[in-house]
Amino acid sequence: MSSITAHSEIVRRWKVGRLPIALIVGLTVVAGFALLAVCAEFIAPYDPIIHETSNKLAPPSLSHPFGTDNFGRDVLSRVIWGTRIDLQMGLLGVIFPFMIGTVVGAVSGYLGRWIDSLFMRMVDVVVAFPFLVLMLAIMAILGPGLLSFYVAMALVGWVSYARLIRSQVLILKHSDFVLAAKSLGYSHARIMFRHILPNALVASIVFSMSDVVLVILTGSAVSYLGLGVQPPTAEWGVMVAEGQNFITTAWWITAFPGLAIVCLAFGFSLIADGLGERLGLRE
Amino acid sequence: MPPCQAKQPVSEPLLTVRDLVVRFPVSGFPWPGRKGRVVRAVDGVSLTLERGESLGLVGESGCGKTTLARAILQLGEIASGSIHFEGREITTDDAKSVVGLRRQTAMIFQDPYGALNPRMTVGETIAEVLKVHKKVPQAKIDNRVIELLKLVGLSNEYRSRKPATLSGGQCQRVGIARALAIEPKLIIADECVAALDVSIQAQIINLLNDLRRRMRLAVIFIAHDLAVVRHMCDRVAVVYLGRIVEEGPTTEVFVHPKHPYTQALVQAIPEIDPDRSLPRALLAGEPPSPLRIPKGCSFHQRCPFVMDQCQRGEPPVLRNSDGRRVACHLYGEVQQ
Amino acid sequence: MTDQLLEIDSLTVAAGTKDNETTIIEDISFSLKTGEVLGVVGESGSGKTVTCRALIRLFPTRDMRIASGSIRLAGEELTTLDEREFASVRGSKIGMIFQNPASHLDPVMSIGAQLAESLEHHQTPRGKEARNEARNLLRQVGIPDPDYRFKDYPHQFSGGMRQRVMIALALACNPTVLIADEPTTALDVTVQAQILRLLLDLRDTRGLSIILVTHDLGIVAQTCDSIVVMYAGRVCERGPKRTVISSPSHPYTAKLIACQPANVVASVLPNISGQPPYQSEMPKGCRFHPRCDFAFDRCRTEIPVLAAISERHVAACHLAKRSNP
Repeated sequence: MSSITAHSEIVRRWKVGRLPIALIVGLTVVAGFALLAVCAEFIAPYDPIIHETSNKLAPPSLSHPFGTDNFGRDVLSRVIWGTRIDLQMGLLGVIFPFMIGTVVGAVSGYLGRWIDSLFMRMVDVVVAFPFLVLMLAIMAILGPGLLSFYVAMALVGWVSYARLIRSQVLILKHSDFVLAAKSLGYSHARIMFRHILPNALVASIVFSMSDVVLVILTGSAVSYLGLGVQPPTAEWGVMVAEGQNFITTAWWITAFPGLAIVCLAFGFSLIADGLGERLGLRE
Repeated sequence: MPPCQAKQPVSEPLLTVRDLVVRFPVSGFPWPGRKGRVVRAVDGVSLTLERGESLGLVGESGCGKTTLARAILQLGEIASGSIHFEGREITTDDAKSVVGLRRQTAMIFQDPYGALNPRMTVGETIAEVLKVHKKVPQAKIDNRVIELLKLVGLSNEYRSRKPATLSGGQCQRVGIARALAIEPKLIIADECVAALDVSIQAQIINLLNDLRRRMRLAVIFIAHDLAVVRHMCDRVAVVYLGRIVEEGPTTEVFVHPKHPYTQALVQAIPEIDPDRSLPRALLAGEPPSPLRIPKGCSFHQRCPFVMDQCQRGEPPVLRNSDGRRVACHLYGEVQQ
Repeated sequence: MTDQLLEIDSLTVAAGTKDNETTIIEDISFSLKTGEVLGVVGESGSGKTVTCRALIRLFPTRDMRIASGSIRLAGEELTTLDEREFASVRGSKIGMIFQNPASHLDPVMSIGAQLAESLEHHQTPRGKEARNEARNLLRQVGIPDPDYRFKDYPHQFSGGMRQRVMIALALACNPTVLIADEPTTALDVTVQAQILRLLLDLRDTRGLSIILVTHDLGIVAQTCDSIVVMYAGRVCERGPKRTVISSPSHPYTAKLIACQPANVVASVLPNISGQPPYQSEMPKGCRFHPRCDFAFDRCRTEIPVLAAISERHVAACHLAKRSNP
């Protein structure tokens, strides 16, 4: 026993006070995109939706570094403006499911009994449908648009968070420090929010970072199917979809927004990785 | 505590446990007609504890000593039996009595890291107790935290550290400071030095002994290591398969163990004497599973002095003689 | 020196990358005779586990490696062997048992099958012959009714019985040296004595040499012939059991013996102030000096080397030589 504690002690000490490189790089990438999103007006060289009919499908050049699309719109400007929509989609599309899932999972895991059964059956119902089909069904009812995307995301996406949090809470519920808190006469609310939840959140925060990527891709998918962001608004997924017809002749229309998606996804994945390491989720 | 408690006579023991039984259901496939099996983890334990007294609970792993301790603090469900703290019966039906119990008892754990919330600093952990129980006015919390840390031999700089940056011994000190913050009358220490190195173990034992004397704390000290118990406790109770098989003043029990199990335990203390080699006559076998407790005396399968009546006879009754009790057929006749 | 079965000479194990290298254990030397039981004692982080892992080249983390020193088994140098050659040494000449037997047994394979597999891997017997041999081994390690328990799975065994199975597994390849890393820490006191008894009996019947790694000086005092005391990755004292325990020459050993609760009748236990240093912040000079009552200037700057006190007794302390010329 003694040697094991000693070893983990060394590991613990190593982690404290040092940021993993993955986290730094990831944060830099995402911060770069965030800057683009915030300052889109000042950075983008052209208006993203104004058609320049004289200059359709122009390949990348000095005046249009990413080229132009079939309506003569500057792809670079559209990618920059798209950052705003896609970041927002990724973040809001994760925050609502995260919050709902956390509350449901925490209550379910901590209280147990019939509440647990009730919530978990709800989870089963949601999981029983294919993810995208359920999303499309809800969005079809609510009508196209970003708002209905967020609502659908919240209604469908919470299940993974609820499951994750619940499993963590179930483990933590039997940990020594929670028993200690009970023996000290703390209230249930205090044990839940001060002691269990902060420790249970680690895994789902890490998961949420990689989830951002999935949500952006889902957003792009529903936009592609005509239910999400409506043209002519610049959004990476829509751009990729629109450029598909010209992929052999004008590769730049799909390639650059696609590259942007990959870069942002890469940034968030690195954050997820680095957070996992920093918060001690994996070695 | 309600004022009526003040009228209690001084002779009232701090804690009285009578015929405590704790059962756990055993999981298994629920065949129709099959009754759910239960494990009697604690099987009719009675004990008393005076103010400022320290009692050692000794036994092998799985014998129910931790379950017993948790049941006393109302941290687990009790099947039957009663617990009186300061003369007042503690039951889960009476939420007030449990709150009262929590205000006057604390627990110290075996795993020094596991018992502290890894996301809270040492200072926050201790301050939380003071805040929740309103032990000191808000403005004085900081001072009290520093005071408590000093009491357990930690300097002020540890206040902002998190458990992961501390050593095992330091974490255990924080655990003790947190227990003291509640100003308890009773502390239950569950194997609190078992995970520590020998040199650190000695530090913690000395610290606990010192605090106990200064604050007149009653301590229930759970351990498998008899040598540690000898240093900590006025009285010792030996637990085997959920029952107390022997109880008495520590030195008495150690010098003249009566129950064959206690004798084996005392013999197994690894004293550091180069001339003492490993004993030849050892206790055979291992404790049986709590699911299959043998009939008669639960120890008879391993007992070197087993007699007919041990296998047949219902569990022998605890007998009192000079402040000691032994649950063994061997001493049935000696009873006055 | 030819009567020594296993000789370890100034063994150093390092971890980390080339630019950021830390030594985990430093300059470890000891030797083991045939049929000897050697106790390696130390607190957590003293490097006792790493030392015995180095002997079978199975390090707890991947970046650890033997930086210098030599290990000789029956005259054969082990540190220069490549991985393939070493694999034949591991198991067949040096066996090892661990603290937690449950995690070192395959839960979905019966005990008998695991033993037979190990036998077939290292020796010639096949099929039925191997199974008979496995039963035989189970009998030797004191498992009652081995024919019946042969088909049982690890979870059907109690802690002590699992440790016996571990010992049987280690014996399957007929090693000459058995390394036991805290074999009884996870067991109850009454069972602990049974396992130690078994190890001593095996020493007598099979002529095994045993390295017993433990934090418990009491166990060492009862079972070992000689003792190596380790502190913060270095050997601080080494010698025959009787000499080391009755007249320790290193202050750490003396304190370690003094602070055992089993040995003290007084109400206040003597203790060693402070705590063992971390790998990253090893004190200069003697690594024990911040906690030593007798430390003087020289201890803070100069690392003491192991110096002979009597014929087989050595200690690494600046004071040791003087007090015992």
